[in-house]
Amino acid sequence: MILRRGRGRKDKDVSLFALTQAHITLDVKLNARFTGSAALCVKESTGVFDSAVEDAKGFLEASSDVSYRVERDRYGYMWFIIGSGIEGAMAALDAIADTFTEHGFREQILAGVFAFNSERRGRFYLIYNYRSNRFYPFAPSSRDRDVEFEMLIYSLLKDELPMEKDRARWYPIWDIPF
Amino acid sequence: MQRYEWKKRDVGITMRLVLCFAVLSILYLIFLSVLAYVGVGMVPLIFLGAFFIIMQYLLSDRIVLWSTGAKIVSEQQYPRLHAIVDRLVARAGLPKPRVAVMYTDVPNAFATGKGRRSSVVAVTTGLMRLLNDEELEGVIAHELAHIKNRDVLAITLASIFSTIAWYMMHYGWYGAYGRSRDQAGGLILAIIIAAITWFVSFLIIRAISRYREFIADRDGALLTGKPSRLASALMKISGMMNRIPSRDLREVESMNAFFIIPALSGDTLSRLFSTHPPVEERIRRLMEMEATMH
Repeated sequence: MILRRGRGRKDKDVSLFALTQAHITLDVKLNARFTGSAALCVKESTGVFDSAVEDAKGFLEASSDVSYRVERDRYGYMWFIIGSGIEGAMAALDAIADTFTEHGFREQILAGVFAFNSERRGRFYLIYNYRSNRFYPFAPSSRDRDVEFEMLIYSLLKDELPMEKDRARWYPIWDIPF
Repeated sequence: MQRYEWKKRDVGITMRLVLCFAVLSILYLIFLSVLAYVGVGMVPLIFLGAFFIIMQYLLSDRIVLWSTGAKIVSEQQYPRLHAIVDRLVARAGLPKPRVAVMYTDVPNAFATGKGRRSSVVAVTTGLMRLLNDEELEGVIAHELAHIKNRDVLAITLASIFSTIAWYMMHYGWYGAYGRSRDQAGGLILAIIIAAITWFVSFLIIRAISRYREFIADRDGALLTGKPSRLASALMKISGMMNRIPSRDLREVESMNAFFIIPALSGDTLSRLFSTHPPVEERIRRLMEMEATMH
């Protein structure tokens, strides 16, 4: 754990907010719109983790412009699913990621996930990795992924969004609950 | 796991072609050098050289088919393949080339032929198995672009120049100095200069063919209207597709729980395996083209 200190949060996840621009590009170029759903995926833990969860829920309840629900998956992750516009979703994700960080659970945060709908090619996600502070696309199609579509999203966004260059790190998240 | 199967690089077909043409060129050179040595004049030599090159050009498709083991196939044998070619040539306004198949698991394709009329498009059985119809169409469109742009002719022309340059040097040293002065010194110098000439022309030919690849990518993509199809075909052929993980992020996270090495040493691994920066570059350009089409 000592070694990991330095890698904590640096630029206060500025890169997350680059989505403001990027989601306009997706709309213009792909006819793809933010579905209004985003989520923070956090590994469940013990001890003060519960109070971190309570704090996060408390924050979300207090925010009038977002709705939320919490789900658990079979891998032992909690999904804080936010319903809101893109700005609200970014702010909410950032705030609850902050909450978990303050309680010492930065390492438990798996990813932020934003859902989009493309008119022609259906649902895809932008996954934000909290370790590398980078995004990558994920376009599931049944039990496979539409790599061609993902490559297209990547090349559309790579100048606007900090994107993960190394495709070996584009890990899928199957069965995203929204 | 079967995912690693595609990693075997396709050196086979290219190597056989290169070897075949290299052996032919060396034979010409030896033959012409012998003639030069026994005192045949420069003008007949140039004619002979030109004759060889023209013959090689005229027979190129046969040489290529023979050295790659590609077999011309009929519409009954490969209806799907023929249908794709038919659709594309109709759209491109090209005469239909002959269609050939190579029976190997290595995914590859090539086009050859003297002109637009007598060309051959060949694909391997491995390619047909690996790609879906749209991707196969992307690859064949690329090969048709080579035919349309007369790339075989372009490369042959380029090698004619390099051969002529080679001879000028060679003959110059033999003719002017070789016999009257110190034989050994002149010979060494001739060999060095010939080597430099060959090397430079080798670089030039490579540059030309690399450039022609990009052009064929672009024209092929314009023909299908879908650059990303060729891009994903290239990803599959080069094995790059295998690098896109299918394991769930949550599974991977639990595997290396302490993250001393951040989630799999993807960087080092990929650097070791990505011996093909040109493919990366081609895919990048194709996807950029696709992006501008939206």
